[in-house]
Amino acid sequence: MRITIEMQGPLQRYNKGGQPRAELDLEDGLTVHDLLVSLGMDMDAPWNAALNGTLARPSDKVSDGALLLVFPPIEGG
Amino acid sequence: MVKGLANKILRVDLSEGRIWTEEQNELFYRRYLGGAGILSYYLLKQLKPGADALSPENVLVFAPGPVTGTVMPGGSRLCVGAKSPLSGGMAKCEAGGFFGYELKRAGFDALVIEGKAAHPVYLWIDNGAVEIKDASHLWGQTVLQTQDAIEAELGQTRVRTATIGPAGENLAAISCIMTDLRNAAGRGGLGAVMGSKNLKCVAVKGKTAPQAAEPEKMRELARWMNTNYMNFSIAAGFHELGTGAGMVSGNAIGNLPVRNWGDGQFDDAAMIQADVLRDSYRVAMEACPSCQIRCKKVVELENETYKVDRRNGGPEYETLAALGSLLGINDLAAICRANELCSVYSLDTISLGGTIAFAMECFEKGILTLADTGGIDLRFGNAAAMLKVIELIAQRQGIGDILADGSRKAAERIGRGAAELSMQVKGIEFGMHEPRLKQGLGLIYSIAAQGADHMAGAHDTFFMQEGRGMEAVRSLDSLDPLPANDLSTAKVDRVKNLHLVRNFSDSLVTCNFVPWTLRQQVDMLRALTGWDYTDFEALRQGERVATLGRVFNLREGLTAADDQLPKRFFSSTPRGALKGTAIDPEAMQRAKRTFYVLMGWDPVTGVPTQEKLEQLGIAWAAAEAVPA
Repeated sequence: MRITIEMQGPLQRYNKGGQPRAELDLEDGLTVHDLLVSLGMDMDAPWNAALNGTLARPSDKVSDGALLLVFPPIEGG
Repeated sequence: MVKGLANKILRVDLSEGRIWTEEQNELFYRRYLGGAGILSYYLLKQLKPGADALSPENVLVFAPGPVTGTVMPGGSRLCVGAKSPLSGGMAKCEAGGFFGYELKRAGFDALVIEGKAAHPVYLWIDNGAVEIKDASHLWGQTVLQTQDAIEAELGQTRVRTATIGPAGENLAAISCIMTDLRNAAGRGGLGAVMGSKNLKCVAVKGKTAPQAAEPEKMRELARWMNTNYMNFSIAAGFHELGTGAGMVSGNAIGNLPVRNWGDGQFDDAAMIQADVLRDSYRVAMEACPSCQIRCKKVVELENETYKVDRRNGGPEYETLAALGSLLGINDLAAICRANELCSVYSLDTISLGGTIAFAMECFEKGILTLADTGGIDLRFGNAAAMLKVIELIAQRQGIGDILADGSRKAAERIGRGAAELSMQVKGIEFGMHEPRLKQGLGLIYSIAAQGADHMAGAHDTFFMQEGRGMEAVRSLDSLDPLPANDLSTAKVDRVKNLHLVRNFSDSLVTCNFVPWTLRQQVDMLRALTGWDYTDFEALRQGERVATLGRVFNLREGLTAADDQLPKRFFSSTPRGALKGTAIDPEAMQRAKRTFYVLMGWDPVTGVPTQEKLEQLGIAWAAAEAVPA
């Protein structure tokens, strides 16, 4: 499957080539968690993800054509 | 004498022109610590029940904490509070900058002000010497002008100040107190309280560092944070961009409020994001004392339409959202200008944004007309209208006079169904985080003594999966990741305990942006005071503060019925990430009841039980609480 992934802030360095936005060819059936592990992301760092426009859970399956946005959680300020 | 503290409370009665200090014993400090703890104590003890928030009887408290004034990163803040003219309950907020740091170093654990001066005055605190000085010539001046004038007449530079501008003088209930020009003790209408006392400014110089019981342990903790903060992705993000880096991502998950919380999507979120600000008008980042995270933006701009002075700071996330997406405004330069107006006039950007959003929706729905607005086309997205209305609010002119007291009171004056559009709890407009997404935060918005304050509790999206966020709550015996919209007993317990931790932190006073664990905060208190302080005491202390806030609100006439979210949040947004998502009213009602029970409050009335007050060592407050 082919997906688009955007990673923001300090998490950007885990994206392909350290780019904010990248297209990835991946095996089918990956979960959000597995995909981020495959990118080598520090899974201890707080993160949230939006999968196709809604807040994603780690166990959500990513499908072909998906848009995944990964970013630090938003709190105060 | 407690190590690390000043061991002195400064008291000022402006009606009598009297200044004195009082000392409290060690158990007082161990029980209340400082910051929010001392604020709660003095409000209940000193304020006559039922007193008008804008009367001389109100008590205005500036309370640094034990950690304030030390070498600790984030150890510069203070808690500020009084009876709120917006809610009628407790106003409580925290502010950064140098003011709290130097107030503590001037020799005071708190400054407690009552009465009303016969004419405008300012307070000058110079390393323990305190003087009430005439400020008649400063009345009507902006915060920035006041700073310059006071420094000139004192013949000093780097005078640290807590100041009001015209909005505070004009008793706008959404006004705030600005510390060191560009930091705000924002919530609850404290600027109006200060204005009602004819108090223009508190100016301070303080040079005496607190003497810790174990200074090397303090330095070791500070060194650890200064070495490691970049390993924490959120702190690293603050270092790079400050707050507001997540407008697009917030929009993607539905956290970003749009058009008075009535829409669910802001297509221009990228235009008001912190990276765009960095690449356009941001000229520097600056820090509070002893902090390397330096999260505060400084902006400067001059174009054909706007000019913004860098001395007035720059917009934080809350401001970018409150004066941006919440109003449907995508003009970053206009938002920077609006932020500057709020700094110089002393307006709370959050309540201001919430109130203007309310007015814009009223206008679009025909509840307000051009005749009401004085010809201002007050539609969502109109940046020029926003800027004009800010000026009118600060001066209480035209439509600004109605809006100056927040959306709840404005709705009462306007009528015609406007109350449905007022998005607040207890009269306090919401922080810029969507409770339909973060439903545990929604519960805290409902119940916190200070109203819909996003800083009163932790945010659900931190604890949805394994990782560092879960580590923080496991120490509170909250073991499993939970969805953001979960309102189970396990979630309520987590939310409650994190609320207690926040109240403890607000008593120390530490900064939420410095990623201290609860254990580290306890360790710094142990090193500072030499006490054998424990995590258990920390949670108890947080519970004591929350309960005192509850008792204060009950005494002032608030009830469980005031712990209520607006109807809008119980239905879905028409579009965006939360389309089809709403808060289940029954689930929220159950969660509220569960919260009361877990706090030792009556499950229906929310009144703390006598046993709970005795357990917390505040049985004296029982006389203040309404019987269950």
